[in-house]
Amino acid sequence: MTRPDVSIIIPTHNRRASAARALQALSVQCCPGIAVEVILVADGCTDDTASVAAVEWPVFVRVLEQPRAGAAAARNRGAAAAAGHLLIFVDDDVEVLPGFLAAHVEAHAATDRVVIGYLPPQLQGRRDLFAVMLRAWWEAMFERMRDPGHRFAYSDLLTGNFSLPRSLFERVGGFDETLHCHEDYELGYRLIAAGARFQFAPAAAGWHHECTDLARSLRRKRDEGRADVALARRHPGLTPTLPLARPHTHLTRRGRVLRHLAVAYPTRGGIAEAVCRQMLSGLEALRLRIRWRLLLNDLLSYWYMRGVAEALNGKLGELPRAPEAMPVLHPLDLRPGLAHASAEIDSVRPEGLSLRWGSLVIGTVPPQPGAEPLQGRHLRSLLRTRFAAAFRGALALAYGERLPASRDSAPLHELTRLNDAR
Amino acid sequence: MATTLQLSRSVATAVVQLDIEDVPSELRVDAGYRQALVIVRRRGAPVAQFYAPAAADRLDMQELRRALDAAIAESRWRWAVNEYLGPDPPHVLPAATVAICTRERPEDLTRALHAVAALRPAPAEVLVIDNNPMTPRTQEVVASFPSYRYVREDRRGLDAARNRALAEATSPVVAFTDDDAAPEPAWLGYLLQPFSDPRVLCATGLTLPLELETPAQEWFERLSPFSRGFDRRLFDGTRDDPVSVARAGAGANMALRRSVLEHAGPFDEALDAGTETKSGGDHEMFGRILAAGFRIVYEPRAVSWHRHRRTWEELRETIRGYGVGVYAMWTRRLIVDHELGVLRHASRWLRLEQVPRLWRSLWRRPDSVPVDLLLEELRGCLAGPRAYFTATRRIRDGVERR
Repeated sequence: MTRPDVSIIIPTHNRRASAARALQALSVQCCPGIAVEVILVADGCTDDTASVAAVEWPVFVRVLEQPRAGAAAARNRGAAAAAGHLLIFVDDDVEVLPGFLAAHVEAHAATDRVVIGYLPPQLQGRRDLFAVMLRAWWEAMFERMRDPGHRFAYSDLLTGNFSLPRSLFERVGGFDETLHCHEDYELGYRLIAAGARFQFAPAAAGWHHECTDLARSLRRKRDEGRADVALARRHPGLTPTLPLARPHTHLTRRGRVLRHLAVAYPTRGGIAEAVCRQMLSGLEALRLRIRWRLLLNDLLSYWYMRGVAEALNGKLGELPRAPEAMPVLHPLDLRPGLAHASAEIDSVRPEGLSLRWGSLVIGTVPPQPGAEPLQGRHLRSLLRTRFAAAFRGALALAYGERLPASRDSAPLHELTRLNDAR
Repeated sequence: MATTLQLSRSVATAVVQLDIEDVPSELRVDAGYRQALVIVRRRGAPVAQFYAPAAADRLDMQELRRALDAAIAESRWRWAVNEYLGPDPPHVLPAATVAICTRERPEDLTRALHAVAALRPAPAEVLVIDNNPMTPRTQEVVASFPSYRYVREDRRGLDAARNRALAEATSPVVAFTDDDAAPEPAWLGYLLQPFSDPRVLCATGLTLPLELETPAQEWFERLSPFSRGFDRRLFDGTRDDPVSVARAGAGANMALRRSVLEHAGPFDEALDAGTETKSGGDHEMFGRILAAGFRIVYEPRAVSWHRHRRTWEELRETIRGYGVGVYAMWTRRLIVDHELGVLRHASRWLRLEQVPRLWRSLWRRPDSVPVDLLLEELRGCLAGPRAYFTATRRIRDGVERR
């Protein structure tokens, strides 16, 4: 066989049927002129996962077996064995859709891209409130990335379906194998710091066969709490962006009490948590969706804090802090027009912005640790959403009395004219 | 703000459109009109509406300008921002089937089909579902549009016809329009835009009155207008109450993604026109879409013009039908979907709207609604639950009557 161009790496752990489904879907992908190999890394599997390679697949499939070491180590192992110059990482619960491979390959026309694919959740017809929330979480994440003006950050890297050049992967040193959760975020941070450009490719899609239930999701939150402490220790600059450092305004008073118990009195917290879990099913039966959602939030934050407290031995004061730095804001006058202002951002690539209309301040885009530097394409989206009201207000303030109401077919023409007259 | 509609049993209302970038110095209407419903548009998009008085054969322009300024005062700055930002990147529209569910209304259907023929972009396919027909007239009308597909559905009821349309359609999205409505050429393009969001299962558009010639039509427009305003709105099942869905639009002007069958299920065939329950099928579906965590988008640029029923008798029947439908739909939401929120809604509607309105009418307060209409609505509400049970029993027993 000729040397493959693309290596698809799937880490798996005791999910033989799922891994076979993933292989089945990948094997029917076609992308003319591109040679593909699939590397299935069986991480401590005891269910004879390796035997899926015994079938005659239409693509070249290799199975690597290793003692249980975690998904990050399995991905590194696969990448080390890969021969392709493009690596695509796919999880074993993903069933890729037609066009997946071509979309990944196509997106790498530019160099040093990190391409994140779309994973629509497949919930097997579940319609319970938890499944509804689960779908909403996933889709909200992709919806943000679908906006052409999205400012990518380290937390946008999802290991379930992403690709990058092998050279880039090797340059940043691959996954951190000591992390067993949020290892994707950690890699995302180093990639952005290395100047890689993130990109979302909606056509590089795969069904995500999601079978998470409440219990699993709560366990996962505890792992995330622990992982975030590790992340903050490694990259203290990220601390302010992690949920553990954010204010608790989204919680009810009950949630704040639970959070306190998680840190100070885990035993009592456990009892309170069990009671709340019972209440949750009661609220669902009564279709009290808003209360259900608030209670779920409280529970998730409880388990997250349990993880955080465990990682810090209950001493929250030992949380690594971000180094003090004065935010550097680039003042940007919007009056010369969107194209001009966007070009200015592209030439400066600032960390933060102070948006202005002449001498009027519209708002501030603060520097965001772990996010890509600002680009011109971010501006339109910022003005359309976050700053829409403030921008309207600034315009009204600047020109309010001078605009005759019903003749302003195109108020901005008028504005520009007034502008020029100044 | 907009002046209120002057209602009397002798005055008709003209429906006038006004382009905000080209306001004429005078607007003529036929001498019979004492006022006009002015629909304000800007670059094709409807942006506001208000009523303006007419004297002799023209509108009072001073009054009109004042109303116009008030109506757009807020929006001006939004337009200024949009102008600054430039046009949105073009949407990739999904292929669509246009479906018209009809029963024995050949004249209305002809107008609807002519409107569909003028749609740009044109739909991939047009379906006419003839619901439980008594005569071949519908089939004859469709025969004069050779590329349109005629489908006969003998299970009676609008919801049975809608389910048939979803089953027959070959496109991922089905846009429904009523036989007594006429969509504008750009209707379909705007109605399909929201579907670029995979969580959107349904989009609804703005329905405006084609004419307000009779008191029945004027009162219909006042009591239960199809319009849901001039701002795009997003209803999200993970945030918005799946019981209060009337705000999201109406079935006369809506499009559904066909995967709605998988995510929320088919229309409830015990509901809506042609059955004992008279209406409510569209809103029941909207409720289930939200309960499943999906989204509905109201897109006012998708404009369709609806001819309201002309006679007072028809109006009374329609209003009663709405009462029956709302309560039938709530019965289903309560019994089948266990939505307890229905009880709170029913009680609030009664306490905060129905009773106070009836009280004002009984005391003949100015601007109050004719008592007979309110009583019809209440009578409908009382009959609703029973109508739902009768309809479900009929369907279960397979008793079909012509």
